[in-house]
Amino acid sequence: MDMNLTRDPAYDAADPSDFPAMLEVGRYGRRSTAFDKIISATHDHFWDPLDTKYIDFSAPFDTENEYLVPPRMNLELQTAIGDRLSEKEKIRWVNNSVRFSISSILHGE
Amino acid sequence: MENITKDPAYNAVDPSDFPAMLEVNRYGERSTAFDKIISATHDHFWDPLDTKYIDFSTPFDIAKDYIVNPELNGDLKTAIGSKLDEGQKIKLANLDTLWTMSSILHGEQGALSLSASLCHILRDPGAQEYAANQTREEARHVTAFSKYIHARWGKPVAVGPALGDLLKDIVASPLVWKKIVGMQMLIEGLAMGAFATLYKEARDPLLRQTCQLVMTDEAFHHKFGKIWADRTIPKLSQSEHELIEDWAAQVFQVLLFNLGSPDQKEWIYREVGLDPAWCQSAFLEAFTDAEIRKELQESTNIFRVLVKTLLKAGIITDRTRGVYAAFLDMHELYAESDRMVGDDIAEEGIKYLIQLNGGKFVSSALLAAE
Repeated sequence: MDMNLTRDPAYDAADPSDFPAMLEVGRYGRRSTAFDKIISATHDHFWDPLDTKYIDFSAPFDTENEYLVPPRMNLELQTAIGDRLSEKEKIRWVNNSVRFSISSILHGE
Repeated sequence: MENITKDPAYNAVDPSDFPAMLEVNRYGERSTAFDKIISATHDHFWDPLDTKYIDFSTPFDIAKDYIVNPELNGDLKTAIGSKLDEGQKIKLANLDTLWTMSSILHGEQGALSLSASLCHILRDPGAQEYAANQTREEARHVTAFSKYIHARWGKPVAVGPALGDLLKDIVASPLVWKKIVGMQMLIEGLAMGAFATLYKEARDPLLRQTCQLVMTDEAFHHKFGKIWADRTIPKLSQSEHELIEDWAAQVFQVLLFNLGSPDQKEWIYREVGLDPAWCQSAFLEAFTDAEIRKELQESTNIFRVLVKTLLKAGIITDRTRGVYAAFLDMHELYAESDRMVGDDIAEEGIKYLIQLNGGKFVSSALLAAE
């Protein structure tokens, strides 16, 4: 059984340790055009997280006193947990939940 | 063997240890050493599939015209040349160029795979982003050289054993120093020398343009190697320095003796109806003539960038100076400035790309990246 489940030559694969397979002369000419438009478009949607022209990470936000996302989106606050917390604790709870989500996104990236 | 890490920007993990990448403190431990190189990618963007940048349908008659100035061809300086008519000389010289371009293509594939492998081991997020970015740029070089070779000959020829073995070794190695010295300093250095020569001596405008576009990226890759050397070489112990110095000298010799060697080009001699064994003896015979030997040694000029990089980085000491001195004037190289032979060509190409991409040229992008 082909464990890679390859059904289209664009997804043909070699063993990760088999670099010589990449030097096979016929391979260079067998280039799928399926991804060309995506590759070419990279220049149009370029952005740089280190350049404040695109995004400024020094933009302030008071995470102690403001919700990063609307509290109605937080499941726990819709339960008895919410009843046990003060407004400040609710903000802390929600913003830590956001931190967990964003950290998961970071690890995913 | 160890990674010989002297700067935290080059900290590495085992290629199979992905969980180490999820360690929470790592994300915040980002070196700023490569930020300018990463940010500059937008300015020197080019696309080998967009005729705005390069048109691979530009014709050139390889049966009638030399792709590269024939004065650079070693074989034609020997008795081999006198056995051929003009049409055969063009055929031999252009097949020699196919051999060179195929080696360059395989080298670019090696650079692509090696850069991707650096993403798996470099711990520093900045170094990792740089490596990912280099991977993307090497991928467009593979596309560009594949398209050039397809346009002129249909397909490349197989990699020679010397280059193939070296690429396999450095791509598979988990050692950061071996990857960086092997690719960024030795192979990229050799490539910059070859591109500069091809840009100057090619008679096919498409080849000149391909080389210049690739050089706009390679000049930055070469800088990555230089940053590593500046932060590593002065801090090496004697045994570490000797390990790197000896390996570099050994690789230099392998590349020097094999890339242009007649025994790797038997198929070319057969294509023009010559006996490869006779051609090899004619080549060796030519080395007994001082004038021809001098001319043949001039072809090692493509190794100047490679050797100058190692010399200026402090990798070459008196222990191995003789290995290089037999082919190049080491005093002359040492006295030269840090500018490399291809830097001006790359700079001119970057200016052109900034203009084409609708940007504004502010200052030397290569210097700014230092």
